[in-house]
Amino acid sequence: MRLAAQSLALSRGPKNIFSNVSFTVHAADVICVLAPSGAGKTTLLRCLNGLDRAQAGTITANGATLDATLPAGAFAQAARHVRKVVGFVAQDKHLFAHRTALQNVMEGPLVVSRVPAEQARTQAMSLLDRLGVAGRAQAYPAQLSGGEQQRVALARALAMQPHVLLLDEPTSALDPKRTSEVASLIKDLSREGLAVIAATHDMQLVGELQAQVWTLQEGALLCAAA
Amino acid sequence: MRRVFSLLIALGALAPAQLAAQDRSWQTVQQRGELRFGLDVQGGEPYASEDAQGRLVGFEIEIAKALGQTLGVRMVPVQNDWSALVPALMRGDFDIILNGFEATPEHAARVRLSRPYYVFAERLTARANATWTYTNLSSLRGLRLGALGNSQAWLMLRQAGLDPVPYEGVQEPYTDLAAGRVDAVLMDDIIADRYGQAPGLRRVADVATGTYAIGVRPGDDTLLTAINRGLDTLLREGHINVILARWHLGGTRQTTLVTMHAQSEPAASPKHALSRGQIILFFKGALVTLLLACAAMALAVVLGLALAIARRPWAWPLSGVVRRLASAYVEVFRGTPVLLQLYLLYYGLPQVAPWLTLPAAAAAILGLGMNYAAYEAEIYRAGIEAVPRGQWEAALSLGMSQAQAFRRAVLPQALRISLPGMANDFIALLKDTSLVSVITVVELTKRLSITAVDTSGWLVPGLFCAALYFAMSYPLSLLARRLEAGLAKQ
Repeated sequence: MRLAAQSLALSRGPKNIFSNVSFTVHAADVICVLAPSGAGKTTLLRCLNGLDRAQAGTITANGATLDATLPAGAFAQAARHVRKVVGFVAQDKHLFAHRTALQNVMEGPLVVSRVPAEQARTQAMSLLDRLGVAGRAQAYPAQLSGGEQQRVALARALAMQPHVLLLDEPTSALDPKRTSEVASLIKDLSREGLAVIAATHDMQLVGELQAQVWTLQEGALLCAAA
Repeated sequence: MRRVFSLLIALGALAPAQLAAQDRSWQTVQQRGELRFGLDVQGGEPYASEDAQGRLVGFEIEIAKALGQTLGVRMVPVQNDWSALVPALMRGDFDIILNGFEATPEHAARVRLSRPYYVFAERLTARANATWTYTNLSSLRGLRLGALGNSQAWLMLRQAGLDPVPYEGVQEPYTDLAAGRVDAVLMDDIIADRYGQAPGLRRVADVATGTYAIGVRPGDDTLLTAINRGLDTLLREGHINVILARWHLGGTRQTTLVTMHAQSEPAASPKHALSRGQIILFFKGALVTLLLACAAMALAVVLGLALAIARRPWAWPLSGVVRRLASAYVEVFRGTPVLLQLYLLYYGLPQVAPWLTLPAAAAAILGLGMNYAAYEAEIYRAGIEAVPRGQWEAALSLGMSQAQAFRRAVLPQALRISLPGMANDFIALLKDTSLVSVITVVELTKRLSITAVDTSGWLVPGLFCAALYFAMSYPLSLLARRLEAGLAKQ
């Protein structure tokens, strides 16, 4: 078990975003969450990464439990444990604007894992290479295209060697050729044991990933094997 | 024919009027029925000060009243900063100066002086435990000396090749003497008697004498004549002696007044150009200004950053208390004048904590730095808030703590956003350094007010001083604009 959710519920005002959401994610699982825009896919992924708080339920990963009832300090502490194994790439990427592509990818290992700079650089370069953006290593985010930013953001998350990777609309900035490349990369990574949950409505990605498809409809998460 | 006749009468009437137009000063005062005299109430007892009911009292107020009675005009006091009495007289803000106005060659070079109405001694005061002895002014070399800026005492010390600290008030020099910031104070004995009598201070010697006279604009000859006539009457009939006795200012020295004459002619003709030495002193003043601004800004940046960080909504223990304290600091320092803060820091603090008797330069840097820190904190707060939330979250998602995310992802970007504001603040700080002259630091503006006395005018040194300020601030202004343009491009 890499990540488990138990009875998650969240509503905003009268609107029920999701309720009674429970699931378990195992190593090498590839899951696509399908839902119309505004249905709460992003919010669900943010909750799984501890960026948003559900109002009820628990999320368990890496031996830590994000309990909706925890006080703020303890919740932040638990969220850090969870994030050690659960990576997240937001739809807007949010690359660090003041650092180059290479520095963006090195940042996590340097600061969080305290990896020596030389080692972090080598790992980051090989990730950028694997994602086909090694040539843009010295460019700043503002100088990168949307697709390049997407791949640098992916490399930044992968540099932390997560067990589970949460991807919000990972192919929204990519053309079909690049989408295929990302799909085959995700499949490669899953073969190495990485579990992936992608919120998307890109049917090309869903098809090429041969992923489990979950749907979020009127607050209920429906899980079905692909 | 009658028309021609009346025209001739009119022309005849014009002729004497034109002659008198050369100097109608006394006539104008008489027509107005009042004589306006410039004074600074801050000069305090026994010159001119306000009593508990807000009425003006003092021996000079009484002399003014007696003079008005003799001349048949009403005397109207006009408040003006003491150090700027001469330029205000020249502007026409009042007709005469009557306020501890010393009959010095420097004053005589700029205005006409009446006959003296008071004889004072220049009194040297030191701490009671001082080990040095006084023989002449040169024997004071190596001591830190205090005097009222641009006063006769101050000019005397400078002429002796000494470098006295210029004060703006009469009490502060003795406060500093007691606190050990200066080693000796040279002041008119009237002032020394009132303010230099604190325990721990002792009178060393009276090193010279001088006189107070009334100052009149050059060219106002008829007014000067009238005033001399009035003073002559008051002195001969003993009115002035009665007034001085009432204020305990009499004494054998005053008996010489009756036979004294006005300092008739200017000792030196006014020179308007700046000498080479003065220009060098101006550059030194500019350097002091620049160093003060840099040191104060360095303090403001560090302290401001600490305040901005303390005001973040951290989830740490006690962070609520720290946040409220930091907010209170910012509001208090932004909400009160920096001039007041400098006074309290320099003169007020040693009264409650004698071990916090800061040297003037340190107090200036600390005062300006602490004040500007409040403004920097606000700039950084705005800068931090301008960094998109996604940057925080991206850092947190990598597993960083709040502090790591702040330091690595948010702060560098926030500082970048804050740079133009910081550059603007530095320009403002550069000019605000002029305020520290009140705590005896001789920077560029103080240098100006010193030189203005030497060169008999504010225009030339004023423009030169302004040019120096501009030369320092304009490149910074360009830098700020470039930084702003750089940010806009992003």
